[in-house]
Amino acid sequence: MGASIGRQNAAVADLKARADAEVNAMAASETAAHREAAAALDQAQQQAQALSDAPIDPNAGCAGAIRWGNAQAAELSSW
Amino acid sequence: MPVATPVYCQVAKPDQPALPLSELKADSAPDDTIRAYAATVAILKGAVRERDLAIEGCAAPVNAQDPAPQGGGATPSGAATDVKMSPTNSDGKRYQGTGRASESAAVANGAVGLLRKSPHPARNVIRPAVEEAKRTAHNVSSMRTEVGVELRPCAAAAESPIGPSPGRHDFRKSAERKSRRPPSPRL
Repeated sequence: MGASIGRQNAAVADLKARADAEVNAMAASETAAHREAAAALDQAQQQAQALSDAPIDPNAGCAGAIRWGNAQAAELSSW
Repeated sequence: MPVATPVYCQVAKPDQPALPLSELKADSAPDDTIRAYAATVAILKGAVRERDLAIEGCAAPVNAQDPAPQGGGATPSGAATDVKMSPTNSDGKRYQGTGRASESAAVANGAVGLLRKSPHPARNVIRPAVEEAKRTAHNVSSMRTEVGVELRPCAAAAESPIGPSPGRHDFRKSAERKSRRPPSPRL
């Protein structure tokens, strides 16, 4: 019986060690992904700010605005 | 008594970004309008990238695909090692408890069932150890064990109800509202 208890104890300890390692790996992966995700959105916000500040000749009216928009479309429509 | 609990990825719900389109008015100038559209597209693309990266963070760790035991622990075939069982959990007291072998077997059975249903990659790693614990517990007619195992369950996943989130857009209601609106004047 002692050997059986020992085996069970070892199995439980091994289970815990491996589960802890998995949890730690998952936590590290989640943290890194969270950082990258926040950076991606931050970069997009900066790009959006640059677009919002872009100069467009207000005297060019709708046609000028559309020309400017079409010029941005190549980048904005791609991933 | 160990209770294996599925571990889910705890991804925070991303904030919905403010869209420059919402600042447009009927009398907004054409250049402001086109800028707002372009900036909105840029922000939406960023939001999609943010979501994709967050989901990638939940991918299985590289070593999760290998259920083979590491050295120093018990093997699925039941080889004993010199690992001692601690009477208390070293890093948490959740699920700590005591029990007899029969209870241990019942819990192990439940844990295996949970792990079979779990989508988490850790199931491949810890299932052999849980099954070994179950087999061993069946073989021991009477014994008393004390152990605490912290597998860090995701409380959010367990508590969140299945179904649409409160903030989800209801397209049916939108369609109903739209149908009640007076027709827009033709230009």
